[in-house]
Amino acid sequence: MNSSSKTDMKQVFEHLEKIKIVEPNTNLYSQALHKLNRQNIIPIYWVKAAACIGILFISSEFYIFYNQKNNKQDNAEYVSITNNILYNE
Amino acid sequence: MTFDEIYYEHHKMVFNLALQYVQNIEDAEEITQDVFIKVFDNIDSFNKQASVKTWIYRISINQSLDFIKAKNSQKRSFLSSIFSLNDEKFKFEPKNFNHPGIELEQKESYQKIFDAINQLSDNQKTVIILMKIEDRSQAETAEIMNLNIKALESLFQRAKKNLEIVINQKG
Repeated sequence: MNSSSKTDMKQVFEHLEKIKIVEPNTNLYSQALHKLNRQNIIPIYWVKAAACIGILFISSEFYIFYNQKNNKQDNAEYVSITNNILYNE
Repeated sequence: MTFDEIYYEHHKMVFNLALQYVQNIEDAEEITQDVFIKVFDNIDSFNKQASVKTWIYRISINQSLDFIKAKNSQKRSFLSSIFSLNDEKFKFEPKNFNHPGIELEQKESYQKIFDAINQLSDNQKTVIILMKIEDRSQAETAEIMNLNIKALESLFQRAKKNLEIVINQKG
């Protein structure tokens, strides 16, 4: 490419027009099909993420359940301590 | 038209178009596979207002540009991607210039031209590729790019001017 800008662009476009058409790899079709089939399977990343969310949910349910149970026991203890004696008697 | 028929009628066009954007075989093959996955996924929603060829051209162009954007974003650091810093530094450069449509002796001069094309905006790059490499007519290019002829002519002139500037800057 020489320094004359007009010639440059003409040369550049002539160069580009000479680029040959390329025959793609014959395996490309089977590779595309393979990728297409693989796409329909749920990725392991999302399976792991769903499992983690499930485990977190179940453990939080257990935590809440046992906390509630302990609170009920505490309340029962308070109730059992009460007596019927009035201070002013 | 079945998927097989669409594939065998258009795969060469898709592969060659992708090759002009990324200039290496591996990336062009990856883009071609992704284009046909999109074709397969969207074949039912294809509205037939455009021809199948034009539709596949559009998918191929978008897929190639998305591929380049994804490659560029991998290069960016976290902060620069947030604040859009130094965009110019992250223009696409193929990992290895390996264009099989170019003769080995002329590889260097073509690499300079493609380096300059890679600096252009998406639309300017596309108009140069379609009209000068793929040898599409003005009418075909206008239809593919969804532009009227006047807008296309003006886009081509801007692309030509910017390409000239970049080539002269690079020497």
